[in-house]
Amino acid sequence: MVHANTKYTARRDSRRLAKASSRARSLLTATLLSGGALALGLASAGGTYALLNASVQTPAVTVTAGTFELRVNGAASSALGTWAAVTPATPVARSFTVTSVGDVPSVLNARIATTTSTAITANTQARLTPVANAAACAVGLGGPLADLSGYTLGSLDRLAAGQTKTYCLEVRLRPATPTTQSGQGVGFTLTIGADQEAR
Amino acid sequence: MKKITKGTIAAGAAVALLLGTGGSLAYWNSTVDVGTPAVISAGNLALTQTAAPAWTIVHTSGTSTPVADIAAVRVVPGDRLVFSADYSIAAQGQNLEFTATVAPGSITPVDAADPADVALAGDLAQTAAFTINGVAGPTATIAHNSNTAGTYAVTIDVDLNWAFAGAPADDNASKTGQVNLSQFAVAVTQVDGSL
Repeated sequence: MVHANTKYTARRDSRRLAKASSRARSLLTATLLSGGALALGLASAGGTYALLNASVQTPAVTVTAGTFELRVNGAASSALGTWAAVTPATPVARSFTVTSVGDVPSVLNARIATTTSTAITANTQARLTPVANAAACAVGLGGPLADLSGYTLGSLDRLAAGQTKTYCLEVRLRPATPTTQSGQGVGFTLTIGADQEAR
Repeated sequence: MKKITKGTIAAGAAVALLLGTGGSLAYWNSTVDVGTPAVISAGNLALTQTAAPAWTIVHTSGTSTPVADIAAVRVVPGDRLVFSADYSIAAQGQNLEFTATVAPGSITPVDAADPADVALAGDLAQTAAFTINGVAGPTATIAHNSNTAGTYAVTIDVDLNWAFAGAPADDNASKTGQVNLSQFAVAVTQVDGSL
């Protein structure tokens, strides 16, 4: 009898324990589920949930750089043609235009490189002068006169953004050029450069 | 005796019927309101732009010119673009403390595959200065702690500088380049002042 009673009590205790354990498991599961739901809810809301906040933004902008190019006679390069009949007594002058295409003022420079090595090259001189227009281009103007080969002008002129100016290139032979060099040719390239000017 | 019992039951039923009508009938009562009707108002924490953001361009000569349309500007070496924006924080609340933060924007090429855009992004140096409630810096904690509304100023100053002393080879690569200046963000968030 005692034995039966003990068995019964033990079974009852075991059932009570199992019930309590099951209840605890349910409670834990419910807590985890509600916690998970809360976390999901907050996470999906994406922001704080119990504080005041506010924000503003400056407008986004795009900044664009300017440009700067030169044009000779309206093109990236221009042939000045054949300069015939140049003698020590008869220099020849030709005009060309330089245009600043872009957004900055600039200071022009010039340099001449010869492309031939004939003897007459050493007796050939050049003079580059800014002029008002093509009609004003003539020999004997005020630009510096120097040997054609290696002719360099560090500061030819100032050109405003978008401005076009005319220049006069004079080519002449030294008075003492030997007649033996008559008929020889000189090839050269005039390069006009420009550096942006501070403004 | 029987009649008396019947009479008593009838009288009781009559009283019960009277009570059932729901009205007061003979006993005293009284009510009083507790205080006057109360209005409870929440505080405030808000940001507003006090003036339209303004751009100016400064050349190497130091001349500063207002920029009406930043999209129309073509920057060149030696230019400095200056951006200024002013905001106001409105705060109200007895226990209101908050942190104000300015997150800087950044310069990025419009097209990462365009060499001019990439070069320009490298040529433009960005510096930014922030002032919150008169104190320089990108963040500040302000203890308002008042039921009276107050305002606090936030100023953003940004410089985009293209140095004139750069190498021509670098600067020429940036011709016609485009960069984006992303948004600067101002944020205010309430904090727990007891912590």
